[in-house]
Amino acid sequence: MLVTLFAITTTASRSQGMLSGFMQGSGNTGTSVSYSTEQYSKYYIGDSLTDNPMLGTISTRSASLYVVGGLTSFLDLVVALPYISASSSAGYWETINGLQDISIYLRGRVAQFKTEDGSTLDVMLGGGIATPLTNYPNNAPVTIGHGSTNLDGRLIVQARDASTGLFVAAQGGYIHRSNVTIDRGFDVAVPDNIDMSARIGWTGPVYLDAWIYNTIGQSGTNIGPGVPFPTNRQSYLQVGGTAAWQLPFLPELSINAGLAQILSAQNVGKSTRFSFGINYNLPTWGGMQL
Amino acid sequence: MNMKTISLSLAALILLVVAGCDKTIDVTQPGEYIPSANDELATAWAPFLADTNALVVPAPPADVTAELATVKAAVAGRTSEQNAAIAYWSSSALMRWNEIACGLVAKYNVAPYAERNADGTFTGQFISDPNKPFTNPPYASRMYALLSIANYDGLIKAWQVKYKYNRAAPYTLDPSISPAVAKSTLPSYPSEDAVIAASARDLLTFLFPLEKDYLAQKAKECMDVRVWAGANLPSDIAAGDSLGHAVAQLAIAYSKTDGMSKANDQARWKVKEATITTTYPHWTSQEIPARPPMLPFFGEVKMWNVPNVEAVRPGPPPEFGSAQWNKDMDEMRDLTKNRTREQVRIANFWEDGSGTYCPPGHWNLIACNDIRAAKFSTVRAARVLAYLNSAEHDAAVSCWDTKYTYVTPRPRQVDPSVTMSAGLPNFPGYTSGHSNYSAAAATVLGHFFPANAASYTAMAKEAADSRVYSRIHVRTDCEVGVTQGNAIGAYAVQRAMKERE
Repeated sequence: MLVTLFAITTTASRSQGMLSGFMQGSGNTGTSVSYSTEQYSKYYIGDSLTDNPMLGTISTRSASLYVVGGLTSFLDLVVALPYISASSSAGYWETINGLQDISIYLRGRVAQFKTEDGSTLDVMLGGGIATPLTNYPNNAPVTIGHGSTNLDGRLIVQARDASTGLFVAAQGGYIHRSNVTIDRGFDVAVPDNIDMSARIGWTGPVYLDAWIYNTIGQSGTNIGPGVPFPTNRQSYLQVGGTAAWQLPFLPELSINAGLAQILSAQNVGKSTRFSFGINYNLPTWGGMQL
Repeated sequence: MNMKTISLSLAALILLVVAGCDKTIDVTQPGEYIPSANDELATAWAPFLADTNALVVPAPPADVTAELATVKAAVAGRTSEQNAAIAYWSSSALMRWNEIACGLVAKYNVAPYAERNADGTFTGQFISDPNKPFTNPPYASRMYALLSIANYDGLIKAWQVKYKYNRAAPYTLDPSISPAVAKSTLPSYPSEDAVIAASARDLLTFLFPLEKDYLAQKAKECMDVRVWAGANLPSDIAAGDSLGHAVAQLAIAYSKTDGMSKANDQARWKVKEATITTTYPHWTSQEIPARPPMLPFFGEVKMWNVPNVEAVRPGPPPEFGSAQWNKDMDEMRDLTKNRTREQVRIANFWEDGSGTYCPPGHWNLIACNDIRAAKFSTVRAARVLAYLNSAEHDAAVSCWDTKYTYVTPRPRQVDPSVTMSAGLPNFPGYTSGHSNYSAAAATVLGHFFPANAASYTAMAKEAADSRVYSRIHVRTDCEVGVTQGNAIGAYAVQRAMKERE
């Protein structure tokens, strides 16, 4: 039962970023299909909030497949693949949709401190690569991504109290983005970001969490006349929460819902996101024997 | 694999990631531009601004002893920053100034700001700063022409003076001077780089007053490097500076009377538009809030090579509801539903919209690449740019004349289900500007680089098609625009062929 519960949490609590603080457990595989919708009618050019009547509300809808598998008790493999559709409510821009970037991550627990009652403090390192699966256009007002290949490295720390089920987690990472070639025929640099997040939550009969996330562009430009560009420095402060519930009559299945809101930002939309997902835990296969 | 190995590998990955955060883009900088000929025959070429012929450049000073000492001291005391500046400008001052002009067009290519009330609604007013020209395509094409013509005319005069006085370069006068650039047998008085820098500085400062300091600093460096490099005497520079300044004044005087100041007369346009009868609805702005049409009387601006705008004005577009009209609109609807990634790439490659150097700037880039490959003399390179940009200016004038003669709607106005993958310009459709600019450019460049003629034609066709792919234009706008642009380019070629080249 505990294993299944953590399987929910690993998929549910990744609402911001690819990796949560919950290890999957050797031989356990969680899969998740989620749908999210993110909308904004105002966006930041540099630090100033503006709107564009030629765009109206920009909506991004995505359907994602997420799989996390415990290779061993201390090493997980995570794969995610989103299909994204972006459109604007006003003006004349065409809707863009397509498979975006595949992400392949590893998360390894490097240390675990355990008390007699089973409370834990886990220290994990994570790293991964995200790269476009399709050659989608990357410099239009309405687009689905930057088209860069990203390398991500991060440190994750999580403490969970066994008696109450409460946990706190923190993580920080660095995302390096490759240069991209735009259709205009030249290469441009996509800024790197440093991010950090903190999360507090409860793993009882249901899973609940609340989180705060801050990502800071390390270089780059402000949005130029009218048109976002892959070189834009994008930073934002976002808060959110997640709830997940395991179906009592079918314990392999759970559902989750999430909410996220950008509070302040540079060169991104002031968006609100709702997401909904169904998680299914595959039968355990025992894991690798190392 | 044990836990320790895994954690070490992950730590190594993080280090690798953090170390790889250099955000520079490798752009191959052109090396030193070494012309393969001096082109003395340029002394017989005719300037575009006839008054250039009357400019007088004084004879060079006879005693150069002190100047040679200045050059020697400059060469001996050169800093690494000065060497970097030499490397930058020796890749062709002419083409560096063309790049600077393209950069200014991109920087100022921002539509006037739509004023808002306190509650966020629009007042209907569009606020423009007179010191910040909106470098839209017609404005940009006129600016590129004025700049290229000032450069070219100044260089024709400079070549005449060079071959009149035949003053040798400092390293020839004093062989102990070792220049930082390739030696040249071209007479050095006046300095051609100084002519280019001064004419560009003064003309661009007139058009972009807020850039005065930037342009002055660039021009000073462009001139200074010639002395630091041991390539010119200070008197070569001073004479070039004066000549460039004088020819810029001629270009500025021309620009004040070419009709541009009356090109945005919206009140007169309302009166004129009421007299135009069409089978289709007149163009209306598709922007929110609606903007007045861009430069309705740019079609009355003076042309450089075409005798009158009627000579290249195409006949009317297809009638509303005709078979051709419907076929054009069906293609717009089809492309809205289905388009290939390659069509999207082509649409984006040639878009050259807001915040860019505009379609004529794109063709300047193409021309400069081919000039570099051909290693033309500086005056011949300036000739290519002057003929190219005079044709681009004429293409803008003729295209705008056509747009405001027929006032056709854009595809989206006819059928709101048509979406676009590029920014929709705020003026009537028929005929396509991109098609006019590209065909005119292809025709002119095909004259100067005959071996490339077929590829220029193919590029112009692709540029024209790009506007269909992005559903900015129906195909008729582009096909007629290509024919029109070819005819405009042919006038420039005809003018060039009057001279021994």
